[in-house]
Amino acid sequence: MRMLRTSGAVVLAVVVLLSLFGSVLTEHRYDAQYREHANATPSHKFLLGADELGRDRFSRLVEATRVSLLFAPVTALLATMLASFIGLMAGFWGGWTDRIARGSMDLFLSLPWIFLLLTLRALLPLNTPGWKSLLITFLLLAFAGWAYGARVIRVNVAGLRDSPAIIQARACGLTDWRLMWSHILPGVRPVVAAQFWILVPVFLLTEANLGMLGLGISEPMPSLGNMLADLQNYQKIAEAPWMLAPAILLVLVVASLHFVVSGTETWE
Amino acid sequence: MILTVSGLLGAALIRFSPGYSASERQLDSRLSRSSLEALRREETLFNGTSRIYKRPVMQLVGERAATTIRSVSLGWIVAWAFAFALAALLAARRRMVALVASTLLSGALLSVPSAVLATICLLLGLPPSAAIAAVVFPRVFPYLYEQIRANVDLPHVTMARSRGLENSRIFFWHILPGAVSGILGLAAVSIPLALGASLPVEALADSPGLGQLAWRAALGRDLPVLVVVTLLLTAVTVIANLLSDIAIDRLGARAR
Repeated sequence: MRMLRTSGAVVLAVVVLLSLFGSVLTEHRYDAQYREHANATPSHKFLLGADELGRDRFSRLVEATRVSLLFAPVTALLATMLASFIGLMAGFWGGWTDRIARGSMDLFLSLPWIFLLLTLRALLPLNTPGWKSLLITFLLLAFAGWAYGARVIRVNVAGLRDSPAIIQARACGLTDWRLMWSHILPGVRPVVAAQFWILVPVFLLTEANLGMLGLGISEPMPSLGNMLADLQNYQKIAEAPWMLAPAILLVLVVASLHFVVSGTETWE
Repeated sequence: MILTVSGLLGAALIRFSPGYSASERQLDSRLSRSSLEALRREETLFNGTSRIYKRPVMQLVGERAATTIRSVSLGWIVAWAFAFALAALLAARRRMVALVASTLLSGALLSVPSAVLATICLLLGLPPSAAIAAVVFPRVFPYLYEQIRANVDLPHVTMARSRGLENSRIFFWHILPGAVSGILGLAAVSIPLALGASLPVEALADSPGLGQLAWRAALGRDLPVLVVVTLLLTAVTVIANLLSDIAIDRLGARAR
């Protein structure tokens, strides 16, 4: 099991390095079109071939990895912050705050995740520039992904609320905000960190699903999700298997994250 | 209560969405002024008309529900049967190699987006339910294994084993009753998973179910359809959780 964890860490390091320095290996920009090379097969000029618009698949993959690996953790951080805030309020104050927060959590957890995202995404304009669609997609993920983390954090905060240390700190005259920030939050930090690491692969996969359905990040900005949209023409995969490169990379990244972060303890 | 709140939110979402009743090209950032009126208007939700199909939403849903129910239930059953058999076998035998192999299998499947799983199933000529099963299995198997394994080493199970009871009898009469609450809870949780998987699977497999309907509605900003489909699936989720809670209460009490 330790070997799996180490291999996962190595794979992640290689992918991060590829996303940072991969552009050195290619002379093309991710959005440059070479119509005369449309659907080109892999060669020294196009390492992973070219798509139907003649864009270099390798440089698009490098840029897509960079976008996904940057924004999935940022979104997970946002969702975790939202979850921590709501979980802290609900767990610490209890009463009506807790009831409202729990009701919202139940509501969000009852809605089928992908359908909720689809509905929210469809509420917003679909025909938007790449960077705007990137922001919309990842903000939506953060907005819709806080509930599970908040529930876990709330339970832990409620457990800490009446501990001797907190009672003593309260007796010393600390305000609620100070208590939460300086005493409760450090106590639940491992839980918050775990929620963050759980959300990163979830958001990577969800962005991939949305992108593959044409509801994620808009062209020409590449993401691992919208690069997978090519697979909708699955009849072409047999003659152009390099189309699978984004899928393979995504699976490697997500599997590595699972193994590095949490996957192994369950089985030990 | 959740359903009522979801319904109100759904109606508000439709009415508040930028460009409601306008085409995508005419969108601007103004919000609708008559949102509260819209909540009262009966065509807002279940009696609404699809903007892209020009047909009543409930008629569309009724035509397509059977396909989704069939593929989701078949996929769910296959995933559970496979996960249950594998978890029971591994918990009883505890072979390290088998454990690592199943960890890898479930980890690998967990790392593949459901849309890609659907594509793989299409390539292999498998039905949409196979892709749904592939989505549900890795999310169910590790927890199922843990539930069963936690009960394997309990004192009364060891006692039953030492008295020479058959393995099947030990499993069904002594191990399973202890794990039944957790398993039922997991079963309820896995239903929305299967429903969620139906969306990309049906969209890519061109299967005429609710998932495909929701996908096309999202692409065409057909919000009445989207909200009704989401609400119906929420209702299924809530009912499944409710039934599971009732079953856990009944069976849990009996097991105790």
